[in-house]
Amino acid sequence: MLKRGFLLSSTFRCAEEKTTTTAAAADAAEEYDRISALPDEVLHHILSFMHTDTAVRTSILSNRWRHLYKFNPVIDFAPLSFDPRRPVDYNYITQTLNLHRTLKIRKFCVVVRLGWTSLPDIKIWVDFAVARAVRCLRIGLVPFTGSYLELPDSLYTCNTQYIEYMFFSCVDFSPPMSGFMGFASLRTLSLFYSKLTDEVVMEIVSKCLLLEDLTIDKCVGLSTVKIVAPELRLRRFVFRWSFLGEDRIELDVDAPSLVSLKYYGSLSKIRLRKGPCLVEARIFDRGVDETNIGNARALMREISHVKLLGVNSWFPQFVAKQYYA
Amino acid sequence: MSLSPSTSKMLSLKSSDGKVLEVEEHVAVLCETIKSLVEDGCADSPIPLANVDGATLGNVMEWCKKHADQKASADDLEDWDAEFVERDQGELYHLIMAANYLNIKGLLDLICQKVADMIKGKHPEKIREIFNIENDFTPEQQEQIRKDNSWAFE
Repeated sequence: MLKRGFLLSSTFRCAEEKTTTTAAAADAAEEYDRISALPDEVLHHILSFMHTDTAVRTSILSNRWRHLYKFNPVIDFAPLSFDPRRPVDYNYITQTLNLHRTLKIRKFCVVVRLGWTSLPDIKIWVDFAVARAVRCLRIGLVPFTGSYLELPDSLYTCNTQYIEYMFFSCVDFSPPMSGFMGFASLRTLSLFYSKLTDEVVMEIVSKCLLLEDLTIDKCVGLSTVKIVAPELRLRRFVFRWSFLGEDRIELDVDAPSLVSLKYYGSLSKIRLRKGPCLVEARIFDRGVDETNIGNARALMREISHVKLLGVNSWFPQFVAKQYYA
Repeated sequence: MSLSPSTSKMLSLKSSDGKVLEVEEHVAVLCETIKSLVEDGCADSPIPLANVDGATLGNVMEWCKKHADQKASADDLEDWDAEFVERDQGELYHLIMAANYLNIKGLLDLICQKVADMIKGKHPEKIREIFNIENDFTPEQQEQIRKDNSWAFE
């Protein structure tokens, strides 16, 4: 049946035979619907590599495909086309979730444009994901209108012990100050344009012991952020202050495992304790003058050992003042 | 038990059509199914793989060998994988079935991603044509399905 002899030598030497010796080449009947013959769980897996709208559209292919999408272990809503003249309707998301039939989902991702007049009830989405032991949870709301949507209490209970990756924008991230146990498996947390407090950051840093990546980007409600945790595995930290006049945020970083630091803020507001593992530092500020050159000098001492240094216009000003003044 | 390349011994794998393939152990254990057999000490005689034909087994082991190579960089593997999945549907079908049966997550993901990419961005009629899927719906049923999820069909 095979076109060429199959090499059955004592060592494995089939690499060069790839294109010619397969059973499939032998059964040349290309008219056969093989994909529909795959087991359900494999088809669910194939659907998990698509956005949810594409997966849902496969229901019209044939009876075999009609209900497969309801068992997709991944929910991934990409933004739909947006008509600014019409109010945004989020019902399609809730409606799809109502049709879903799995007890577990791996990933729950919604990226959606917020309308000017209507906001989605993200509590329903998060409840749905948490109840299905989600591991990757991503809710990206755009554009950033200054509304901070409330998250459900279910997010902060022990039901979220499986979450490894979490991304939110435009939410009010506020775990209860008593009884919050942290996220036991959380490795990556990214918060954009969200509402936070200093206490919440401290709770996260002290209670999510596996956390490796933390991004706090243009969040509001902060004044003194402390990333101080000798036990923490934190390897990458990104901090960028918001446009909303929060340029007085103080930042303390003392994380011994830190490999990469990206800071967009004021040189006079960051205090960094030298970390032995730090390889990459990107520091962005508006400029250096007499008021903050001392801070710049102190910071440079703490990051002098990095292999990759990213800077903007403050750095040549600093070099000029430091060495050529 | 050490599974490092330097100490790796050979395993015999027997395909559904009776072909016997000798594969280094550290390559074969990328298949979780085979790994469990090795760990349980059941891998001495030729391991019968009743659901994988010889040609597919060769292709699967080719992938495992590349991915067991610790010298291969991530970029290198990505390029190699992209070429590996350039196959006709019959071969892809057999590879998926084998990867599923042998429990090789990396290979299963690779081919499922490939099949998903063949579906993405295409009109249902085009998808049916590519995969020879017979439309067994009545027009009324199709209408109903479109109505159930009108947002996805707009």
